[in-house]
Amino acid sequence: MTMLRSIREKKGLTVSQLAARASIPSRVITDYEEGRLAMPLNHARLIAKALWVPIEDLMPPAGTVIPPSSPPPAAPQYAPSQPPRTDSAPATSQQVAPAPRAEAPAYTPAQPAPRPAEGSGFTQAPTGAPPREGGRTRGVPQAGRGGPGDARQTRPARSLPHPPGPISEGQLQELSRLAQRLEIDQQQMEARIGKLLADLTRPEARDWIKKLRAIADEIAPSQRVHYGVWPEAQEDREAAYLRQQRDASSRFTFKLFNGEQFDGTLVDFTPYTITIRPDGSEDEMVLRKLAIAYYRRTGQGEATAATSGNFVTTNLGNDTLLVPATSAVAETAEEAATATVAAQGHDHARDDSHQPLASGVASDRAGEPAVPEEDNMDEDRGV
Amino acid sequence: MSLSDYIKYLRAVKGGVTPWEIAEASGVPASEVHLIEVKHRRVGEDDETLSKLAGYFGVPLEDLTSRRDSYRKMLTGFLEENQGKEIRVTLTLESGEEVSGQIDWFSREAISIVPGIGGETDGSTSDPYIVQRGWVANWRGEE
Repeated sequence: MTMLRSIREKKGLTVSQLAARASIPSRVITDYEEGRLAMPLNHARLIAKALWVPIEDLMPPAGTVIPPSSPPPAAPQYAPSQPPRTDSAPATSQQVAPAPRAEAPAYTPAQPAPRPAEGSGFTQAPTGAPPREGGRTRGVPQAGRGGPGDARQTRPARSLPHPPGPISEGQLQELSRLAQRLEIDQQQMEARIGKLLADLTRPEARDWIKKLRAIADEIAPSQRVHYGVWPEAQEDREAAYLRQQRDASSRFTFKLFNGEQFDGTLVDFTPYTITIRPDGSEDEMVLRKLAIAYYRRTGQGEATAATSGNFVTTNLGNDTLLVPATSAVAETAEEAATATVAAQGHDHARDDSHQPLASGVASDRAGEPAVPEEDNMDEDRGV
Repeated sequence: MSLSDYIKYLRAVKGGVTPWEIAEASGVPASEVHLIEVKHRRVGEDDETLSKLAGYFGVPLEDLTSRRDSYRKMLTGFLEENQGKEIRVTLTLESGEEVSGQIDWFSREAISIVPGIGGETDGSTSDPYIVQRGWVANWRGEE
């Protein structure tokens, strides 16, 4: 039993506890205890501190011999227990095999490594200190550092990078798709690239896909749907249709999922609701889109009927616009254009009129205005 | 109606219960309910989960399992394929009604069907039916 194990057991610590205290792996501590590794000075300091003993206490008593049952020691990590080879013969695995364990005293100081403290019995761990005279020199093989006397496996030389692989099936498909998008055939694409598609390497194909996508996007913007974004052309179709019909005050029939049917003039809409004025009523009704199965225009409203076919041509600079007249008598083209712009603008008064709370519900909070602020929750108040 | 839309609909019909309330009562995790609702792809492969949900909402299990193949992306693919073509399509709504005609356009929430081709002859064939996608139960195309 080594001094280290003896002290540890006397202190009532397990290897793991000591390892945790000293911040040294348990396996390494076990190796020190078993004598398989020579303890470097920095570890000796940590272990002594963790055990609350002077560092000298970790020294083995004179004449200590490691039990023969112990496995032969591996070559120490930082300091070989054997002197470096002096012959010039190339090292072999047999030649660098460590000496039998029985011949190596416990805590064998590195030879010929210098002792950090005379008689301390510990090896000197490598530090950032400059090498001693005649010591290690960068780039020169040393024992324990991959030199001829090192028992560790030397790292094989890094192999050359693999040559790039051939074009993948997916890349070929993408290039074909891009060719279609650019309205060129494969031959034209190969002429542009300068080699056959099948001869492209994977990185080359990747680069060309990137380039061709950029070209295709420039010619015809991609219709790809990005996460959270719906292409305007798709998203706004219903809104565009409803806007057009709202401006024309068209009449619609709405069929709800429960079989109910409502007829009325389209007054306004939001992404979630459609507001109508039912036939023969002055009140407006808000239908939730979720409740609607389908709807269909059944006729044009009064506003459209009044303006139908009544267009005025006006000149604004070099542009000729055909604008609907909004009043029966438009004195000048300029007046008609102004009136049209006003009609197309956002009519807040009308919007407010079909906000259910805008009809004068007093707030129950002191100091609040009688008319509550606008909100966007009208879709939740619908049918 | 896709399974996703149908679960949303059932939640609304049951008074707007939340996925957490469903989880508490049925044992189906709220996250799973949420996932079923938001997916546009085929969902609901686990019969046990659907069975729990069917029990909770008080609908036959068949009502849920039969909607697996009517997922939104499937409908989108059908609409894309037939949009702008001289093909008459028929959409069967949840109510059993059928709307037939040519696909004029479609968006995320609605489909415009012009009943001009072999459809109704009510004198207003140019006016499309705007069908809410959520209420489309089934669809088919005819040359």
